[in-house]
Amino acid sequence: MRKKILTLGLFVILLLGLAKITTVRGVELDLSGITCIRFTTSCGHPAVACGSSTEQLLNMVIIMNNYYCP
Amino acid sequence: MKLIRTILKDLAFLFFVLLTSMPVYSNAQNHRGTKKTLDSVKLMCFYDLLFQPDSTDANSKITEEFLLLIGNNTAYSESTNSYLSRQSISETVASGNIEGFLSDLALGRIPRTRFNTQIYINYPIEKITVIDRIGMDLYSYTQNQNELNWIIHPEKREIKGYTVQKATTTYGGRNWTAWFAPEIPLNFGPHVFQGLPGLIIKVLDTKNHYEFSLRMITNPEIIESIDINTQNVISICKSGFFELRDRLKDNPHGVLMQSIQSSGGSFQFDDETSAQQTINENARRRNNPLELRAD
Repeated sequence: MRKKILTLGLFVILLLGLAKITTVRGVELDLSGITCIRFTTSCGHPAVACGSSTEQLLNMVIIMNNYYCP
Repeated sequence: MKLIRTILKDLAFLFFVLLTSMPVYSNAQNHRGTKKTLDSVKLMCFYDLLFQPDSTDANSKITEEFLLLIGNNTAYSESTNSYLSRQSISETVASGNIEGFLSDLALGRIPRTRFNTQIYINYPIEKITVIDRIGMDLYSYTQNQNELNWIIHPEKREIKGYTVQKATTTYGGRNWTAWFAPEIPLNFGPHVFQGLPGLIIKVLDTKNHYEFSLRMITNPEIIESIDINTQNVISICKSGFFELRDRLKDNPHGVLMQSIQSSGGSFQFDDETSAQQTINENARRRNNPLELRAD
Protein backbone atom coordinates (compact mmCIF):
# COMPACT_ATOMS: atom_id res chain seq x y z
CA MET A 1 0.00 0.00 0.00
CA ARG A 2 2.80 2.41 1.02
CA LYS A 3 4.57 1.58 -2.23
CA LYS A 4 1.49 2.40 -4.30
CA ILE A 5 0.96 5.73 -2.53
CA LEU A 6 4.64 6.58 -3.01
CA THR A 7 4.47 5.69 -6.72
CA LEU A 8 1.32 7.74 -7.33
CA GLY A 9 2.73 10.66 -5.34
CA LEU A 10 5.90 10.62 -7.40
CA PHE A 11 3.85 10.33 -10.59
CA VAL A 12 1.80 13.45 -9.74
CA ILE A 13 4.93 15.41 -8.76
CA LEU A 14 6.60 14.44 -12.03
CA LEU A 15 3.49 15.42 -13.99
CA LEU A 16 3.39 18.84 -12.35
CA GLY A 17 7.11 19.31 -12.74
CA LEU A 18 7.11 18.28 -16.38
CA ALA A 19 4.01 20.23 -17.25
CA LYS A 20 5.47 21.18 -20.58
CA ILE A 21 7.28 18.95 -23.00
CA THR A 22 8.63 20.79 -26.00
CA THR A 23 8.69 18.76 -29.16
CA VAL A 24 10.34 19.45 -32.49
CA ARG A 25 9.79 22.51 -34.68
CA GLY A 26 7.89 24.62 -32.20
CA VAL A 27 4.94 22.28 -31.54
CA GLU A 28 4.70 22.27 -27.76
CA LEU A 29 2.67 19.74 -25.81
CA ASP A 30 1.32 20.71 -22.43
CA LEU A 31 0.11 17.81 -20.33
CA SER A 32 -2.74 19.93 -18.96
CA GLY A 33 -4.28 19.62 -22.44
CA ILE A 34 -3.11 22.87 -23.99
CA THR A 35 -0.87 22.72 -27.04
CA CYS A 36 1.07 25.71 -28.31
CA ILE A 37 2.35 26.06 -31.84
CA ARG A 38 4.76 28.59 -33.22
CA PHE A 39 4.18 29.51 -36.83
CA THR A 40 4.62 32.25 -39.42
CA THR A 41 1.69 33.58 -41.42
CA SER A 42 1.90 33.49 -45.19
CA CYS A 43 2.75 37.23 -45.11
CA GLY A 44 5.57 36.82 -42.61
CA HIS A 45 4.08 37.56 -39.14
CA PRO A 46 5.58 35.12 -36.60
CA ALA A 47 3.11 34.16 -33.85
CA VAL A 48 2.25 31.61 -31.16
CA ALA A 49 -1.20 30.02 -30.91
CA CYS A 50 -2.34 27.91 -27.96
CA GLY A 51 -5.44 25.74 -27.77
CA SER A 52 -6.88 22.55 -26.39
CA SER A 53 -7.49 20.65 -29.64
CA THR A 54 -5.78 20.38 -33.01
CA GLU A 55 -8.94 21.55 -34.74
CA GLN A 56 -9.15 24.68 -32.57
CA LEU A 57 -5.48 25.48 -33.19
CA LEU A 58 -5.66 25.04 -36.95
CA ASN A 59 -8.86 27.09 -37.19
CA MET A 60 -7.14 29.83 -35.24
CA VAL A 61 -4.10 29.75 -37.52
CA ILE A 62 -6.21 29.89 -40.70
CA ILE A 63 -8.45 32.67 -39.40
CA MET A 64 -5.53 34.80 -38.27
CA ASN A 65 -3.76 34.19 -41.59
CA ASN A 66 -6.87 35.28 -43.50
CA TYR A 67 -7.43 38.42 -41.43
CA TYR A 68 -3.86 39.55 -40.80
CA CYS A 69 -2.47 39.09 -44.29
CA PRO A 70 -3.29 41.54 -47.05
CA MET B 1 16.80 -0.79 -3.54
CA LYS B 2 14.17 -3.28 -4.61
CA LEU B 3 11.44 -0.81 -3.59
CA ILE B 4 12.97 1.98 -5.72
CA ARG B 5 13.27 -0.36 -8.68
CA THR B 6 9.61 -1.39 -8.37
CA ILE B 7 8.48 2.22 -8.06
CA LEU B 8 10.48 3.22 -11.14
CA LYS B 9 8.97 0.32 -13.05
CA ASP B 10 5.45 1.36 -12.03
CA LEU B 11 6.18 4.98 -12.93
CA ALA B 12 7.44 3.98 -16.35
CA PHE B 13 4.23 1.99 -16.86
CA LEU B 14 2.02 4.93 -15.77
CA PHE B 15 3.82 7.32 -18.16
CA PHE B 16 3.54 4.79 -20.96
CA VAL B 17 -0.22 4.51 -20.40
CA LEU B 18 -0.59 8.30 -20.20
CA LEU B 19 1.43 9.10 -23.30
CA THR B 20 -0.07 6.38 -25.47
CA SER B 21 -3.64 7.23 -24.49
CA MET B 22 -3.30 11.00 -25.19
CA PRO B 23 -3.30 10.95 -28.99
CA VAL B 24 -6.19 8.47 -28.99
CA TYR B 25 -8.18 10.71 -26.68
CA SER B 26 -7.32 13.78 -28.70
CA ASN B 27 -8.38 12.13 -31.97
CA ALA B 28 -11.55 10.84 -30.35
CA GLN B 29 -12.38 14.40 -29.30
CA ASN B 30 -11.87 15.71 -32.82
CA HIS B 31 -13.79 12.99 -34.61
CA ARG B 32 -16.99 12.83 -32.63
CA GLY B 33 -20.02 12.51 -34.89
CA THR B 34 -20.15 16.12 -36.00
CA LYS B 35 -21.43 15.76 -39.55
CA LYS B 36 -24.91 15.07 -40.80
CA THR B 37 -25.40 14.10 -44.44
CA LEU B 38 -28.32 15.95 -46.03
CA ASP B 39 -28.17 14.76 -49.62
CA SER B 40 -25.99 13.09 -52.23
CA VAL B 41 -24.39 15.32 -54.85
CA LYS B 42 -25.78 14.92 -58.37
CA LEU B 43 -24.05 17.81 -60.07
CA MET B 44 -21.20 20.20 -59.27
CA CYS B 45 -21.00 23.74 -60.62
CA PHE B 46 -18.04 26.08 -60.33
CA TYR B 47 -18.51 29.86 -60.48
CA ASP B 48 -15.87 32.58 -60.70
CA LEU B 49 -16.65 35.52 -58.50
CA LEU B 50 -15.12 38.83 -59.55
CA PHE B 51 -15.54 41.29 -56.69
CA GLN B 52 -14.40 44.65 -55.44
CA PRO B 53 -13.54 44.41 -51.71
CA ASP B 54 -12.92 48.18 -51.46
CA SER B 55 -15.94 50.15 -52.64
CA THR B 56 -13.74 53.25 -53.11
CA ASP B 57 -11.17 51.55 -55.33
CA ALA B 58 -12.24 50.03 -58.65
CA ASN B 59 -8.71 48.66 -59.03
CA SER B 60 -9.10 46.45 -55.96
CA LYS B 61 -11.07 43.82 -57.89
CA ILE B 62 -10.04 40.23 -57.25
CA THR B 63 -11.48 36.80 -58.02
CA GLU B 64 -12.40 33.80 -55.94
CA GLU B 65 -13.98 30.52 -57.02
CA PHE B 66 -17.27 29.28 -55.60
CA LEU B 67 -18.71 25.80 -55.76
CA LEU B 68 -22.34 24.83 -55.96
CA LEU B 69 -23.26 21.25 -55.09
CA ILE B 70 -26.67 20.19 -56.33
CA GLY B 71 -28.42 17.23 -54.73
CA ASN B 72 -31.85 15.69 -55.14
CA ASN B 73 -33.56 18.12 -52.77
CA THR B 74 -30.83 20.35 -51.39
CA ALA B 75 -28.05 22.51 -52.79
CA TYR B 76 -24.94 23.85 -51.12
CA SER B 77 -22.73 26.81 -51.95
CA GLU B 78 -19.38 27.87 -50.53
CA SER B 79 -16.12 29.47 -51.63
CA THR B 80 -13.90 26.67 -52.96
CA ASN B 81 -10.95 27.99 -50.94
CA SER B 82 -13.06 28.02 -47.77
CA TYR B 83 -14.08 24.41 -48.49
CA LEU B 84 -10.47 23.37 -49.19
CA SER B 85 -9.09 25.04 -46.06
CA ARG B 86 -11.74 23.24 -43.95
CA GLN B 87 -10.74 19.99 -45.68
CA SER B 88 -7.11 20.72 -44.95
CA ILE B 89 -7.93 21.13 -41.24
CA SER B 90 -9.87 17.81 -41.19
CA GLU B 91 -6.99 15.99 -42.91
CA THR B 92 -4.40 17.44 -40.54
CA VAL B 93 -6.51 16.55 -37.50
CA ALA B 94 -6.74 12.97 -38.82
CA SER B 95 -3.05 12.68 -39.71
CA GLY B 96 -1.66 14.74 -36.83
CA ASN B 97 0.86 16.34 -39.20
CA ILE B 98 0.67 19.86 -37.77
CA GLU B 99 4.22 20.68 -38.81
CA GLY B 100 3.40 19.94 -42.46
CA PHE B 101 0.29 22.11 -42.21
CA LEU B 102 2.23 25.04 -40.73
CA SER B 103 4.95 24.70 -43.32
CA ASP B 104 2.31 24.74 -46.11
CA LEU B 105 0.73 27.81 -44.52
CA ALA B 106 4.01 29.74 -44.39
CA LEU B 107 4.61 28.87 -48.07
CA GLY B 108 1.11 30.06 -49.00
CA ARG B 109 -0.09 26.57 -49.93
CA ILE B 110 -3.17 26.63 -47.68
CA PRO B 111 -5.97 28.26 -49.69
CA ARG B 112 -7.00 31.68 -48.39
CA THR B 113 -10.50 33.04 -48.58
CA ARG B 114 -12.46 36.24 -48.04
CA PHE B 115 -15.68 34.23 -47.64
CA ASN B 116 -16.48 31.78 -44.85
CA THR B 117 -20.18 31.54 -45.63
CA GLN B 118 -21.72 28.07 -46.08
CA ILE B 119 -25.17 28.10 -47.64
CA TYR B 120 -27.70 25.26 -47.60
CA ILE B 121 -30.61 25.75 -49.97
CA ASN B 122 -33.90 24.04 -49.08
CA TYR B 123 -32.62 23.01 -45.67
CA PRO B 124 -34.89 22.96 -43.82
CA ILE B 125 -37.63 22.72 -46.47
CA GLU B 126 -38.26 26.06 -48.23
CA LYS B 127 -35.60 27.74 -46.10
CA ILE B 128 -31.95 28.64 -46.54
CA THR B 129 -29.55 27.87 -43.70
CA VAL B 130 -26.50 30.10 -43.57
CA ILE B 131 -23.48 29.17 -41.46
CA ASP B 132 -20.88 31.89 -41.16
CA ARG B 133 -17.88 32.64 -39.00
CA ILE B 134 -16.93 35.58 -36.86
CA GLY B 135 -13.50 34.94 -35.39
CA MET B 136 -13.49 31.52 -33.78
CA ASP B 137 -17.28 31.33 -33.54
CA LEU B 138 -19.59 29.73 -36.07
CA TYR B 139 -23.10 31.17 -36.32
CA SER B 140 -26.17 29.87 -38.06
CA TYR B 141 -29.33 31.62 -39.19
CA THR B 142 -32.14 30.78 -41.56
CA GLN B 143 -34.06 32.81 -44.10
CA ASN B 144 -36.94 32.05 -46.45
CA GLN B 145 -36.10 30.71 -49.88
CA ASN B 146 -38.70 32.94 -51.52
CA GLU B 147 -37.17 36.11 -50.03
CA LEU B 148 -35.56 37.06 -53.31
CA ASN B 149 -38.79 38.06 -55.13
CA TRP B 150 -37.38 37.76 -58.63
CA ILE B 151 -38.89 39.73 -61.48
CA ILE B 152 -38.47 37.77 -64.71
CA HIS B 153 -37.97 39.89 -67.84
CA PRO B 154 -38.50 38.79 -71.46
CA GLU B 155 -34.96 39.85 -72.44
CA LYS B 156 -32.77 36.98 -73.62
CA ARG B 157 -29.14 36.60 -74.71
CA GLU B 158 -26.48 33.97 -75.06
CA ILE B 159 -23.83 33.25 -72.40
CA LYS B 160 -21.42 30.32 -72.55
CA GLY B 161 -23.48 28.73 -75.32
CA TYR B 162 -26.68 28.81 -73.26
CA THR B 163 -29.69 30.89 -74.12
CA VAL B 164 -30.32 32.81 -70.91
CA GLN B 165 -33.13 35.00 -69.68
CA LYS B 166 -32.93 38.06 -67.46
CA ALA B 167 -34.30 38.33 -63.91
CA THR B 168 -33.83 41.09 -61.34
CA THR B 169 -34.17 41.41 -57.61
CA THR B 170 -33.02 43.43 -54.61
CA TYR B 171 -31.15 41.62 -51.89
CA GLY B 172 -28.71 42.52 -49.11
CA GLY B 173 -28.79 46.22 -50.00
CA ARG B 174 -27.88 45.65 -53.65
CA ASN B 175 -29.81 45.44 -56.91
CA TRP B 176 -29.03 42.21 -58.72
CA THR B 177 -29.43 40.99 -62.28
CA ALA B 178 -29.38 37.26 -62.93
CA TRP B 179 -29.18 35.41 -66.22
CA PHE B 180 -30.66 31.93 -66.00
CA ALA B 181 -30.80 29.07 -68.48
CA PRO B 182 -34.35 27.63 -68.83
CA GLU B 183 -32.79 24.71 -70.76
CA ILE B 184 -31.11 23.57 -67.49
CA PRO B 185 -34.16 23.04 -65.26
CA LEU B 186 -32.37 23.40 -61.92
CA ASN B 187 -33.52 26.33 -59.81
CA PHE B 188 -30.17 26.95 -58.13
CA GLY B 189 -27.24 29.32 -58.35
CA PRO B 190 -24.24 30.55 -56.36
CA HIS B 191 -24.47 31.97 -52.82
CA VAL B 192 -28.17 32.47 -51.92
CA PHE B 193 -29.23 33.12 -55.49
CA GLN B 194 -31.84 30.55 -56.45
CA GLY B 195 -35.53 30.18 -57.17
CA LEU B 196 -35.48 30.83 -60.92
CA PRO B 197 -36.83 28.38 -63.52
CA GLY B 198 -33.33 27.42 -64.69
CA LEU B 199 -29.74 27.31 -63.47
CA ILE B 200 -28.22 30.75 -62.88
CA ILE B 201 -25.36 31.22 -65.35
CA LYS B 202 -24.45 34.75 -64.27
CA VAL B 203 -25.55 37.06 -61.47
CA LEU B 204 -24.17 40.52 -60.80
CA ASP B 205 -25.07 43.65 -58.88
CA THR B 206 -25.81 46.88 -60.70
CA LYS B 207 -22.64 48.56 -59.32
CA ASN B 208 -20.51 45.73 -60.72
CA HIS B 209 -19.01 45.09 -57.29
CA TYR B 210 -19.95 41.40 -57.32
CA GLU B 211 -20.26 39.20 -60.39
CA PHE B 212 -20.65 35.41 -60.34
CA SER B 213 -20.11 33.64 -63.67
CA LEU B 214 -20.57 29.93 -64.25
CA ARG B 215 -17.30 28.36 -65.36
CA MET B 216 -18.00 24.65 -65.35
CA ILE B 217 -20.63 21.99 -64.67
CA THR B 218 -19.32 18.54 -63.79
CA ASN B 219 -20.39 15.25 -62.34
CA PRO B 220 -19.53 14.81 -58.67
CA GLU B 221 -16.14 13.13 -58.71
CA ILE B 222 -14.54 14.41 -55.53
CA ILE B 223 -17.41 15.51 -53.32
CA GLU B 224 -20.13 12.92 -52.94
CA SER B 225 -22.46 14.31 -50.30
CA ILE B 226 -23.84 17.53 -48.90
CA ASP B 227 -22.97 17.50 -45.20
CA ILE B 228 -23.77 19.90 -42.42
CA ASN B 229 -21.91 20.37 -39.17
CA THR B 230 -24.16 21.77 -36.47
CA GLN B 231 -21.93 21.07 -33.50
CA ASN B 232 -20.64 24.17 -31.73
CA VAL B 233 -22.65 26.36 -34.09
CA ILE B 234 -24.48 29.23 -32.40
CA SER B 235 -28.02 29.92 -33.60
CA ILE B 236 -28.68 33.59 -34.14
CA CYS B 237 -31.14 35.79 -36.06
CA LYS B 238 -29.81 37.31 -39.28
CA SER B 239 -29.87 40.90 -37.96
CA GLY B 240 -27.99 39.77 -34.84
CA PHE B 241 -25.31 38.21 -37.01
CA PHE B 242 -24.92 41.37 -39.06
CA GLU B 243 -24.52 43.42 -35.85
CA LEU B 244 -21.68 41.13 -34.77
CA ARG B 245 -20.13 41.40 -38.24
CA ASP B 246 -20.18 45.20 -37.97
CA ARG B 247 -18.48 44.98 -34.58
CA LEU B 248 -15.72 42.92 -36.17
CA LYS B 249 -15.34 45.53 -38.90
CA ASP B 250 -15.02 48.36 -36.32
CA ASN B 251 -12.50 46.60 -34.06
CA PRO B 252 -11.10 43.55 -35.87
CA HIS B 253 -8.10 42.93 -33.62
CA GLY B 254 -10.10 43.26 -30.38
CA VAL B 255 -13.01 41.09 -31.57
CA LEU B 256 -10.72 38.35 -32.90
CA MET B 257 -8.62 38.22 -29.74
CA GLN B 258 -11.75 38.15 -27.59
CA SER B 259 -13.25 35.28 -29.58
CA ILE B 260 -10.00 33.32 -29.22
CA GLN B 261 -10.00 33.87 -25.45
CA SER B 262 -13.68 32.85 -25.21
CA SER B 263 -12.86 29.62 -27.05
CA GLY B 264 -10.25 28.82 -24.40
CA GLY B 265 -7.27 29.59 -26.62
CA SER B 266 -4.65 32.28 -26.75
CA PHE B 267 -2.76 33.97 -29.54
CA GLN B 268 0.26 36.26 -29.60
CA PHE B 269 2.05 37.89 -32.52
CA ASP B 270 5.76 38.54 -32.01
CA ASP B 271 5.23 42.05 -33.37
CA GLU B 272 1.76 42.98 -32.13
CA THR B 273 1.94 46.58 -33.39
CA SER B 274 2.76 45.60 -36.95
CA ALA B 275 0.04 42.90 -36.97
CA GLN B 276 -2.54 45.39 -35.68
CA GLN B 277 -1.57 47.90 -38.35
CA THR B 278 -2.04 45.23 -41.04
CA ILE B 279 -5.45 44.10 -39.82
CA ASN B 280 -6.70 47.69 -39.46
CA GLU B 281 -5.52 48.45 -42.99
CA ASN B 282 -7.18 45.24 -44.23
CA ALA B 283 -10.45 46.19 -42.51
CA ARG B 284 -10.31 49.63 -44.13
CA ARG B 285 -9.84 48.05 -47.56
CA ARG B 286 -12.41 45.28 -47.05
CA ASN B 287 -15.36 47.61 -46.66
CA ASN B 288 -17.69 46.21 -49.29
CA PRO B 289 -19.30 42.90 -48.23
CA LEU B 290 -21.48 40.94 -50.63
CA GLU B 291 -24.50 41.52 -48.39
CA LEU B 292 -24.40 45.09 -47.18
CA ARG B 293 -27.28 44.68 -44.75
CA ALA B 294 -29.60 42.07 -43.30
CA ASP B 295 -32.73 43.50 -45.13
